[in-house]
Amino acid sequence: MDMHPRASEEPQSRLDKVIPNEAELTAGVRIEPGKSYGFFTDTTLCIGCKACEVACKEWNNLPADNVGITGHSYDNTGALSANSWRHVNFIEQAGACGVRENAQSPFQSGWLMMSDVCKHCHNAPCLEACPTGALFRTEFDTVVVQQDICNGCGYCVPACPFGVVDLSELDGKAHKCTLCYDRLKGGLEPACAKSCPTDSIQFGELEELQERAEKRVAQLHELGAGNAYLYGAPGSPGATGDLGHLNAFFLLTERPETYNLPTAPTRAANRVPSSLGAGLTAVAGLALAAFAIFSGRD
Amino acid sequence: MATLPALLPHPAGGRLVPERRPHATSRAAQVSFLRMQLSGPLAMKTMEGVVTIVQEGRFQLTDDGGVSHLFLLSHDAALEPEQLPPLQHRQARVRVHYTAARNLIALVAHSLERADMPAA
Ligand code: SF4
Ligand code: SF4
Repeated sequence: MDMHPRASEEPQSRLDKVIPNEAELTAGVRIEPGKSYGFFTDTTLCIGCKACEVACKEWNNLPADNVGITGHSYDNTGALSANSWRHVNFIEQAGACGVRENAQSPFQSGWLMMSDVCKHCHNAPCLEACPTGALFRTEFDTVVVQQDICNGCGYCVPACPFGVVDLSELDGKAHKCTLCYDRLKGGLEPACAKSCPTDSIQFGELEELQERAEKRVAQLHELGAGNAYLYGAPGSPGATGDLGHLNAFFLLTERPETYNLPTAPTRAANRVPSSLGAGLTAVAGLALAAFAIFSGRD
Repeated sequence: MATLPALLPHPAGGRLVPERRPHATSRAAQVSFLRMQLSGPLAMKTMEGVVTIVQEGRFQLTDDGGVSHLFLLSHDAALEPEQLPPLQHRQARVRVHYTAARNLIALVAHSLERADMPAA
């Protein structure tokens, strides 16, 4: 990415104020309400440094959790949770009989690393399931939980097809990535994307990110990584089951399940008519059976 | 679950000591476990300091030694997350009653009171 012309206006290394529209300098995008923003995570660039996890915890004042070592590689966070809103998956790829191949194809073939996050779904099932309106769509087209409204009912937890949103046992409320809502309001790039040293996480306007991602897939195909594809971009795997598209989408090189992502996620609301029909049929059947039994008595 | 053993008079001093039974948790062991809990993670402690960072129901308290501690508002706290930012803006001095959190590097705030205001 070329240096933004505004960069020459801010040569000082010590700042006494926030740079206005700082995201223009760091991500090449001006953040304005009414537009759609998201993340494009290119997993072929991730080196597993966890700078994104740390930046997220630092900015959002989230505590370190799962203190200790899981015993599963370097992945000590384990999973997304109420206190971990970014989680870097470490997936070791073994060859036949668990032995690594001597020859490897290009781009992260021995270890797959992928920084997972809330997908800020276009038709977000968590938001549809929330009975209090605590989950809402912001002016930046992202999905956020309002802590003062959440009553901790937990309906959003099973509604999310990606297992992202989680209830905290301590405050009883739902928590997940806010796509740094407060930073966006201040014109700042989200903390994870800003800290990523390899630009594996890219923040920007959704349409521009989707175009950039298509170009990156074409480039990887040219370079010999024919297995690269997008997950969550319109019309791609992940953007299934009426979810529309995912505002946080990924470039992957293995099947989605390898990264703990569902192959074809769906909206929980899609299953309401069939479940309701089955429930009503069962009630009607039981009522008929009861009528048949009791009407035969004297 | 092990039941509490019966209390017997001590043969020498007449004090109560627990009867030793195989495979049963002795009262001494239970009392020492309770003591450990009360001085350990479950014990309510108090800290005073200035609220320096707030994010949702999480806040950082900087104590008089300049050390910052991360607190999470507990579900039993009478305070709501939206009441925290004014404390930060005023750099308010507060007293927090807290316990430790399990498997988290954070403290759980059960109640908060202004330490820079005379008690009502
Ligand atoms: S990924 Fe889950 S928590 Fe995030 S917006 Fe979609 S449904 Fe909601
Ligand atoms: S900061 Fe970037 S490179 Fe480092 S773990 Fe996160 S996504 Fe990967």
